[in-house]
Amino acid sequence: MEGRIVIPEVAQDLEGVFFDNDTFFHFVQDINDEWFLILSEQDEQDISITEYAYLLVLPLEPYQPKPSPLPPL
Amino acid sequence: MPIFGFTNVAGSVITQMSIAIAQGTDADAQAFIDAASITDSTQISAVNQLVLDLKGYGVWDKCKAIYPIVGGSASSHAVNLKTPGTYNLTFSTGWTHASTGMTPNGTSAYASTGIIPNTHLTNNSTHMSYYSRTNTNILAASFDMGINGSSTASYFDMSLRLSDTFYSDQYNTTTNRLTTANTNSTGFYITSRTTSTSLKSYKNGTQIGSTLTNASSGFTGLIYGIYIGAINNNNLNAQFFTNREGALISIGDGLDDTESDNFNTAVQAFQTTLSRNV
Repeated sequence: MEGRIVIPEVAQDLEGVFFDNDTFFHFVQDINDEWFLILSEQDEQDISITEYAYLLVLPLEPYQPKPSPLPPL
Repeated sequence: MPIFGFTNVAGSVITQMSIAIAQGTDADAQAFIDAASITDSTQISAVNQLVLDLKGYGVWDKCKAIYPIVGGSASSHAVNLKTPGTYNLTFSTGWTHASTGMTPNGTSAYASTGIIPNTHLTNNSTHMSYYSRTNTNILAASFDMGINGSSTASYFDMSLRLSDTFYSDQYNTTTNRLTTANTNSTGFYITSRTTSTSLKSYKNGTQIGSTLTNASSGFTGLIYGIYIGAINNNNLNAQFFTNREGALISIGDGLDDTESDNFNTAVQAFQTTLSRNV
């Protein structure tokens, strides 16, 4: 899995912001606490025609998730 | 659209006439078709028949939300068939939408239903269903849909295949958890509580696992909306992501054995009509 690393301020500002009628930005932190934006190809197409297209210029980086906290299993 | 055919035999000449009769569409189906901008005739027919079947089986009225996931785009997949415009889905980044269904990336993607169990559902009468087209065994914690409250006392969720095990919590994870072995996560899954002492789960119309008869507790702690593709962690974040393509999802009142079987029959026919059955 690959995603784009953004600075914490961008993640904070854009978290939950809709870029079209149905889809909003969601950022996750990787194992190193970097904020990642992980997009599908459709997301990229949809974002490319919005004011947020600048995000697509960011390079793709490998994403390594944090160890998943265990639910009560 | 039905075709009436006249065959007129005159010597060796065969003349065929076809008269297309406009078919009436159920008003609720039409409302969805309009809201989801569905134009494909096969999809329209499939949705209409699904609505007719669910109404005929008495399942329609027991659903708060039905997401048939038809149309191939986020905007069409978002629409709630039961009440278009209410409890429509909103999607985070990370989903892939196709004519076969919608697939979360298993890392960050989730969809919000806006359905809050303690507000919109009824204690001791709840179900959720998920038609999965993906067979994956996720070894880390993962839930295909659900919400948890602030403690283990309040969970409402379903995980189709977590370490080769099916999980359903309704509602206390200690005493109200149903688990059973499952080595293939494809198919139509329903988990349903019909009384305070009856929690059952079904796969393709057949009960899986035993009936959980422990007294239920914890429903009132479910005060945030249900997510799909992950679990809503007490409204703090989404966590325990999954990656299975969903092709119909529902939430609503508890369904008994007959209703669950009939629901499965209707959904399997729906998927077959759309050529995406697994």
